[in-house]
Amino acid sequence: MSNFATEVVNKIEEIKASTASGSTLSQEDLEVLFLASLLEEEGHGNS
Amino acid sequence: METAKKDSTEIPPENVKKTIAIVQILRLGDIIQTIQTAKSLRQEHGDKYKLLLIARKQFANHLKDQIDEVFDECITIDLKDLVLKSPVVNLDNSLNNIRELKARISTHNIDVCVNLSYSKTANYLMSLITASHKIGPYYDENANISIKDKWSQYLYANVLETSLNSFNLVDLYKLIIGVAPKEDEKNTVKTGNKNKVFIHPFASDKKKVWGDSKWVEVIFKFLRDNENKQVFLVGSKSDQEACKKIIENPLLSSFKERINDLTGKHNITELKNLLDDDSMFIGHDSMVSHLASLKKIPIITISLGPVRTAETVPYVAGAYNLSPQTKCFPCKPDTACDFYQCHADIPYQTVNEALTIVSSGEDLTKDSLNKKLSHFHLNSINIRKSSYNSLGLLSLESVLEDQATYDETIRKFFVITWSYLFSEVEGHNDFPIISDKTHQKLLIDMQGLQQLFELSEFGKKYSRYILEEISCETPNLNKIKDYSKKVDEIERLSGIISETHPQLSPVINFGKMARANLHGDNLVQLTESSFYSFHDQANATSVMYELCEKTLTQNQKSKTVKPQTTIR
Repeated sequence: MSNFATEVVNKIEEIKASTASGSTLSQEDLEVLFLASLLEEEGHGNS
Repeated sequence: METAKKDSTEIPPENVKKTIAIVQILRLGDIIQTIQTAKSLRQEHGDKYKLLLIARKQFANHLKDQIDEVFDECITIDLKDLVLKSPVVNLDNSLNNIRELKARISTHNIDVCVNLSYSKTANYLMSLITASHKIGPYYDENANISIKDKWSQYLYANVLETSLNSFNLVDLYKLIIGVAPKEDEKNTVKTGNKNKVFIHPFASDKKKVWGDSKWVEVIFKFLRDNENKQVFLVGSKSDQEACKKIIENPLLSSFKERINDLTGKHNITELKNLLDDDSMFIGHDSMVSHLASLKKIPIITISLGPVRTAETVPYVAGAYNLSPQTKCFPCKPDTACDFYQCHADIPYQTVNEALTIVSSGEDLTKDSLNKKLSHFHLNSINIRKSSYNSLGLLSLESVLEDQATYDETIRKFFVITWSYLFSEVEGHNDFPIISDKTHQKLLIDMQGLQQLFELSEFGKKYSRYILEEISCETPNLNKIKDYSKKVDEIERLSGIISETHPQLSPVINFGKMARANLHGDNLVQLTESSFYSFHDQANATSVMYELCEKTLTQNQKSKTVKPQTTIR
């Protein structure tokens, strides 16, 4: 996995852990999730 | 002061236009459908609103001219721009690029942002956009999808989830935005003899496309029987290989002069311009069929696999659609299939005959098809024509049968029910002529509707009990918990009805969706919202029940007398 992909995956894990403990999503979290979703869509050829 | 006063009366303040942003980050066909929706908004309100489109760069760029005709501005999104634009590719730089995008969108001071994309990415994007009002799905801060308006709840609960949605996506988009459905006489196919047949025998999914041999048969027979006509195969660069297979088939070797391969040779604007008054279109469900609807040329679409005909048929009156009667049609996009029975159920002879009739400027009718086709060519296929119904919605009417199938009957009832419930729109519709088999099935549905109505009433009752308990001087928490459990039990029982009466699942799905998106910030408001969602569900079942009952009565009466009455 590239550094960039690792960064995104780690950040998503952080978000998961923080929401599991009851925290709400910040704007930065939503930005990361938007980016990850866009990456996922293009990876699946839905672009 | 005096001067200022005088000036203010002489120069009236300029009305600031409200800005409506539409998020459509799906594919080309979806953007064309969004353009058609926006055109209706313009027809109804003129330039009263500033219209902004937010779309994917790789699709929007191809439709720039069409977008510019109706939208004031288009903001494009591109993953490459967001990730690779910076000198160093890392998360921080990508997030900075996303913030730049957000800032660019924010400069438009959006009053209403509407999400018309059925996509997770669009839902996240919606949550990043600042707007006074949001319509359609978006993620809230608890990572839950939030949908507050009823038409979007309907779309999210039923489109793709069931095969019982009868609304064309353009009509659904219009209803979501708030454009009243209205017949547009100008939006009708211009019929007449057509010498150029544009064929798009490709689609994004294998399940949606016939094998090339069937298209070869259609082209061969059509060119052999129609000496003055030509065919033009259109598609993208990625379709060139498949196109070659069709064109180089030995069967077509003597017609090469009248077969034109245009795959990968024209951009969308050029292709649109090629569709002139001497042209017609035939092909699968794809962007090109929607492009043809913009030019109002005669259209025949062939729906296969997971295609929901009513949802995606090109948005123009007078277009024909051929679909199989296969039991598993339409399937779901992820359903595995090796047999492709739905492909076999549409005979190429029928397609060829339909093509010959339409290209000669005649109407497709049962009589015209029966002249050259046998019963065997027509007994596994549905042929439908699009037209506006009395509610101003585009609907598909059967060309072959006067009698409505069970599915058609139920779909018709749902359209009347939802239109009345959400938009208070009433139309005058003929009672469907039904078979004895449909009669029996509707009787069974009525039992399910009755059970669902009773459950909905219980839902209202327990929601009201919770409200009454909260308003007591000393609310009993245990009682509130018990009543909430009852409401949960009602949800579970609704699920059981959905399993035993799957044709009622649109009502149940919508109810669940509505209760997953209750309005309010406190227990009182949420419970009130729960009450109203059960109330809507009860009303929907009640309208459906009445429609079933009246149709059955009419059907009984028609067995002796044959008057045509209307549903009011």
